[in-house]
Amino acid sequence: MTLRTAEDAPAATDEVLLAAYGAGDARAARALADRLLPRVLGFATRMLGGDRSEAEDVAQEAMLRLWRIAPEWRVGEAKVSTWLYRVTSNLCTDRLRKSGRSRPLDDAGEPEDPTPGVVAALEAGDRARALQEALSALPDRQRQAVVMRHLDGCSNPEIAQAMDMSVEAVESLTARGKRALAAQLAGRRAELGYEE
Amino acid sequence: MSGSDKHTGANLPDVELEAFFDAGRAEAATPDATLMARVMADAAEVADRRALFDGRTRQAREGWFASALAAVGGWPAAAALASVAAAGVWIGTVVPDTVGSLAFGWAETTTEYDYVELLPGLDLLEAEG
Repeated sequence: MTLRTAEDAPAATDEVLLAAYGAGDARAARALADRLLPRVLGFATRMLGGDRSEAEDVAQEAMLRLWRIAPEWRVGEAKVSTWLYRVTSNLCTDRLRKSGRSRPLDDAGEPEDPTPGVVAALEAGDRARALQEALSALPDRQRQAVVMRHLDGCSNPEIAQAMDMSVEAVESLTARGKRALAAQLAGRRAELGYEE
Repeated sequence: MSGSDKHTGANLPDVELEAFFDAGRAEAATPDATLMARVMADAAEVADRRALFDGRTRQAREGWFASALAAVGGWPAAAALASVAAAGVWIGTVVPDTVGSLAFGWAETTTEYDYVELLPGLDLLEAEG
C-alpha cells in the first residue's frame, strides 16, 4: 500500500499511513511523524514531570517501536495513537521507576487542604507550570488518565484500551485525579491570578 | 471535553480547573527540527534494514531456484522437461481410454491363424535330401 501523491497523506488515517510506510513509502513516515510526534512528546513530557530532554528520548524510542512494528500492524485491532500512548506510558513508567520518581496508585491519599499563596496576577504560562507541578504529584496511572482525557482529548474507551482497564475504572481514575488536581491548585489560586 | 465529569472537588470550581487545562494545552510540546531528524533517521534505518532483509530473503529464494534450474541444464532443459512431464500427465490421465479401446481389439481377439505353407515343396525336398 502506497500513497499515490503527497497530497493523499493528510487525508489518510494513521493506519493507512503506517501500512504505506511498512510498504516502503518514506512520505508516509514523515506524515505520521508530523501527526503523532507532538502528541507523543507532549504526553511524555507531562508524564515525566516536564523533563523535555528525557521526554524527547522517550518519544524517539516510542516512534522507533512504531517503525519496527509497521509491517506486522493489523488494521482494525487498535488505533495507532492508542498503541503509541500505551508504549509511551510504559517507557515513561520504566524511567520513573528506575529513577525512583514513580508514584504508585497506592500512594494516592486524600487531597490536602489548600494553603493560600501569595496574591499575584500570573500569566497562562505560570498556570501551565502549576498544572504540571500538580500533575507530577499525582500517582502515575492517575496522571496518565488525566493527561489523556483533559489535555490530549482522548475518549474514555480509548484511554481504557491504552491503559488496559475498563471504561468505568478510567472514569473513576480521572475523577479522582481531577479532584486531587483541584485540591492542589486551589491552594495556589490567588498566587495564580484567581480571586478568592 | 471534561463535560462528562461531574465533580472536581470543593476547592476549585470546574471552570477554574478548566482554565489550567487550557493553559496546559496551549503549552503543547512542539518537536524541534533535531528531534524530527532523529525520528526520521530511525524510520529510514528501519526501512533500509527491512528492504535489505527482504532482498536477502528474495535472493535466497532465487538462489535456490537458480541452483535447481542449473541442475537440470538451464531454461531449455527445464522447458523440455516440463513438456515431457506434461505429456506424461496427459498420457496418464486422458489416454487410457483410447489405449484400452485399441488394446481391446488386439488382446481380446480369439482369431486362430492357420499355418500358411509358403513353400509347399519343402517337406518333399527335405525328404529327398
